[in-house]
Amino acid sequence: MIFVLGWAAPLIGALVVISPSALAETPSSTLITADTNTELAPEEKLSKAKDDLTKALDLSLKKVDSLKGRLNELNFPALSREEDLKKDALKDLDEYAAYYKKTKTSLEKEDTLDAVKDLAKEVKEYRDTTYTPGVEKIIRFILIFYNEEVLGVANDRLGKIEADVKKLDKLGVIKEGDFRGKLDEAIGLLKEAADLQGDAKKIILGTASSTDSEKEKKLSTKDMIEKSLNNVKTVYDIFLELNQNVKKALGL
Amino acid sequence: MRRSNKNIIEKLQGLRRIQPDNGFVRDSRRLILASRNAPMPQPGIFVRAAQSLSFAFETALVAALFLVVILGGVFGLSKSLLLPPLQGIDEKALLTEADAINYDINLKLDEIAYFGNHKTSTDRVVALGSRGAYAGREELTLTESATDKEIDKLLNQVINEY
Repeated sequence: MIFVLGWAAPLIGALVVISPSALAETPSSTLITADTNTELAPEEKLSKAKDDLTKALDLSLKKVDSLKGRLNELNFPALSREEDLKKDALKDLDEYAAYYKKTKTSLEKEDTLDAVKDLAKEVKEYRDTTYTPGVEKIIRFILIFYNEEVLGVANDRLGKIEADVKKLDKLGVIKEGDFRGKLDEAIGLLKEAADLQGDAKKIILGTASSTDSEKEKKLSTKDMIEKSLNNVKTVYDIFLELNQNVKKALGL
Repeated sequence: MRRSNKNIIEKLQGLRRIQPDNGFVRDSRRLILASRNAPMPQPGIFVRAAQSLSFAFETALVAALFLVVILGGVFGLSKSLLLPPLQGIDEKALLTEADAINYDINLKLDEIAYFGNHKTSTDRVVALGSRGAYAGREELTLTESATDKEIDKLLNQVINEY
């Protein structure tokens, strides 16, 4: 008993010392490597910290490039509001890339761990205050057009399924009425998804009326896009269900 | 007694000499010879037609049974081929499209959630750690948000671990 308590006491002590907030701020993977890193020689720590920060900056530049690529895939009429916003977004991304490149050059010159850590803090601050809000806006801009494209594909599929059901009903092999409920459900969901996408688009492009702006107070553009995309996912579940039901009715 | 036995034997031996009457022999021979060359009676045209139809019917019946038994399964399998082309509920195309769209939308939702819900890189890394334990969605390794997750993780590592 004494032996068990002897082992348990330091363990309980350690659990008390590690507060929940400390656990929340440190990811699980970090906890595992923390001990091994404290045992490293100072020059090894500096080298590893520089490597990690270089990798973070390289990935940041890669991410900026990827976003630029995604923006450049969107084609809008010249002088349109969409084209203006796209140009603004590309300009912002160039600024982010310039910052990351400049920081990378600074990092190469740093020769103390504290300086590298300070630089990492600076990058983190920059990401939290400048990069992330900017990228969030750019992602919403990209996704609003992605949402539009996906809605087009889903509506196209719905049209084909409806045509098939009508064709089979004419042949007398199934009854359209048996599938009308599911088809109407899909139509309703796609209509709602299109309305949400339309409202979010007006707000993002800055062409929203006062009524549209009122809608934003209830639902953010992020929520609108999320809901719209989730509706499309649900609609595809309905399509698959319809496919199974039609096959069953045909005895296939 | 002995004498009567002898008489009987003599009479029996005499039976070997018995012969049919000449007239009977002549009539019988004539009848036999006449019947050997006589033609078989021919059935009438209706009888022959009925026999022929019966054979055709039997053949058709066997062939029909053969088709039903042997080709029945094949017909069942090829039922879908008899239907008009169905572009909307074409299972293969629909499944491919649904999979692609679901996967793509999940990536985008992941991206929106990563930036939308957690404003600072620390918030995002904590969320990433806690999500890993129960996330129903597959971990997205080659996505946009995965890149940002890795960047946030590396920055926190440099600041807190060395």
